[in-house]
Amino acid sequence: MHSNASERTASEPTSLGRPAGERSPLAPTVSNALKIVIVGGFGVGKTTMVGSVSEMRPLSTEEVMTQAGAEVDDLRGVRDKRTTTAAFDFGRITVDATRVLYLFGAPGQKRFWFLWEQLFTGGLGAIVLVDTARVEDSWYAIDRLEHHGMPFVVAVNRFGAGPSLDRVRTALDLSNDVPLLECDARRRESSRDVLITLVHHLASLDRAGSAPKEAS
Amino acid sequence: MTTAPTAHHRTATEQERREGHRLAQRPGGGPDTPMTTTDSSLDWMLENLRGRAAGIHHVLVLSRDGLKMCHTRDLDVDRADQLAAIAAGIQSLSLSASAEFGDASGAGQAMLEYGGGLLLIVGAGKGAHLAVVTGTEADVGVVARHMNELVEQIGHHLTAPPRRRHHEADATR
Repeated sequence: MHSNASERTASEPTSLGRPAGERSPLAPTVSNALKIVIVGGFGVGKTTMVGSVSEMRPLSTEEVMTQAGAEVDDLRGVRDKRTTTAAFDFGRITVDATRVLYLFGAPGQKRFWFLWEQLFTGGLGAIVLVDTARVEDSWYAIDRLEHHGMPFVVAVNRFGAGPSLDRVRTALDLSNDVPLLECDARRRESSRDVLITLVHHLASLDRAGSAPKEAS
Repeated sequence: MTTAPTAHHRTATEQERREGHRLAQRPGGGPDTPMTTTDSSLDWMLENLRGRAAGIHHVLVLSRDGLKMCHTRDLDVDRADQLAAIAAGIQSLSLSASAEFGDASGAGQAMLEYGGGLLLIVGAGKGAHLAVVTGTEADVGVVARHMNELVEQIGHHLTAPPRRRHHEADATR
């Protein structure tokens, strides 16, 4: 029977070295819940990233792609993709005794974009994932974040050799103050580094006096 | 393709943002889309369901990945696309709920009540769901019974099989 939950088995290690079966209950001292949104085009690795960094079994709403999508969902360049997110991904990372990050992965296809509005609400910052073979798929996400005034970093999910980050920055028309880095969304350490970059970026914006305003 | 495109092409307009949920016009099923749901008898069955209980406004069959397959006439194309995406999202979350708190047997029936009406969704054939939008005057029990009867009758026609990958070879870039 199809299960929509993570395919991890209990023995497989998850974030923070704990087996997925051992839940890490949220400490009662937590007072700061920080919402981070992961956006980007279809098949860039958003679900993978939430799954790789979440300390709890991530909620994922993966649905098998059906033949109804043959004329709609362009599978060129998305490798061995068979499922797609129909609502959103959700994961959690406890930073310290008082702070916890909640990760929301947005669905990629245009038909689910209407959900982004709700996902952005209350968000502190965002990660835009980019596949350099399909850079143009990221434009909408960046436009929308700029429109919302939500701070973000851009992470190139490396699927192999590709253009330099400078060229990606030019292709995305990114200003120099937006952090741009490479990652491998499948690896927890790599995804974690992207989150750290985002948090540093948010802190520097805060220091600069332009405190990130909550998206409404 | 590994070269970065040229700059300054991010051009989502305000309208695109607002209407982000709307699908671009797309051509009808080509040879790669052997969908079994386009024949007129199914449309007739959906219209018939609509007439069978009071308060049914729209009936739509959608694939589990959020695309409309067939629907009643009064539902325009844009709203059919929107309803298909919404219903697929709800059923996908239901499936997660069933895996987390139930026996993981999957999404059963979903009912949403909101000001002005109801949205009911049941599983149809493999890979598909049947969604009904009603007004406030509808009797939920009656509508749900008719929906389940319809699925029993024609559920095997309402399927959206997984995509096959060998078409990828045809794709040019």
